[in-house]
Amino acid sequence: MADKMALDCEDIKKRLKPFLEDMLAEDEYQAYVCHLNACEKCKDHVGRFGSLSNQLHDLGDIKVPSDFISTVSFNLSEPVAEVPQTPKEKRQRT
Amino acid sequence: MSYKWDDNSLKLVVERHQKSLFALVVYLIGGDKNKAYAIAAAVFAETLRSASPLDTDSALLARLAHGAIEKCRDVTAVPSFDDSDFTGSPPVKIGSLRMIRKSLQSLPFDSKALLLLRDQMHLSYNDIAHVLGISENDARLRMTQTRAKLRKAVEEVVAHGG
Repeated sequence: MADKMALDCEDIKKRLKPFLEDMLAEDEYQAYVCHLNACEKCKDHVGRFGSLSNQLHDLGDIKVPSDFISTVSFNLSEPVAEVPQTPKEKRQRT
Repeated sequence: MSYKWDDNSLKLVVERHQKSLFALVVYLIGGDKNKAYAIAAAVFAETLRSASPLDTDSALLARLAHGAIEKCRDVTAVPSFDDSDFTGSPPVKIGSLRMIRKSLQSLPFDSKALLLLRDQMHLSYNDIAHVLGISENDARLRMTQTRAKLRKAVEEVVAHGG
């Protein structure tokens, strides 16, 4: 199996335009995203460009309620979670 | 076959994907976070019942996305967003995030799903094609068209004063 591609900070700068235009090859795109998730400096740099893709990415910065994992665990332990619980319903039940 | 998840593996896998799945659901259903919480938690549980820690990250994420899209498809989206997630961002950025959010919400369900799968979840076109049940070429073509639609929607939002 081929090694997963890795990009460094210099590669990120060089490939900025094709990344913002979604023109990178798939393995480069995934490596680009992987680097951005790990490197705050590059993430900040790329985030300064107001492309639609960047803005959509930024919209995803949503806080997940802290008890989410325990709710998943609870649902998983149930035979079939027919009616999903909202946090409010969960509080009422406990 | 149903895999029995131990607490540590479950915590790891949920922590890794919860943010992108939660965001996908929030934007597909129009911002109701209580409803999104319930849907995302149910999707995780249903998906993990037939998954195992040996599945690759991307395969699992694609399955989660597929489950979420199927569950959200019949939910009537009633836009009910607040700006609590933008707290701490500069005012200019908040303005542009509001604008893109409003533009996104004006698009049909499948267009929103396509954009979110690529630009928020960063799925490959191959995975997007599987999730949406279309060919990879079709996914790429639709993405180009959908980005153009989003651009137009942004222009309209701007023209109407945000």
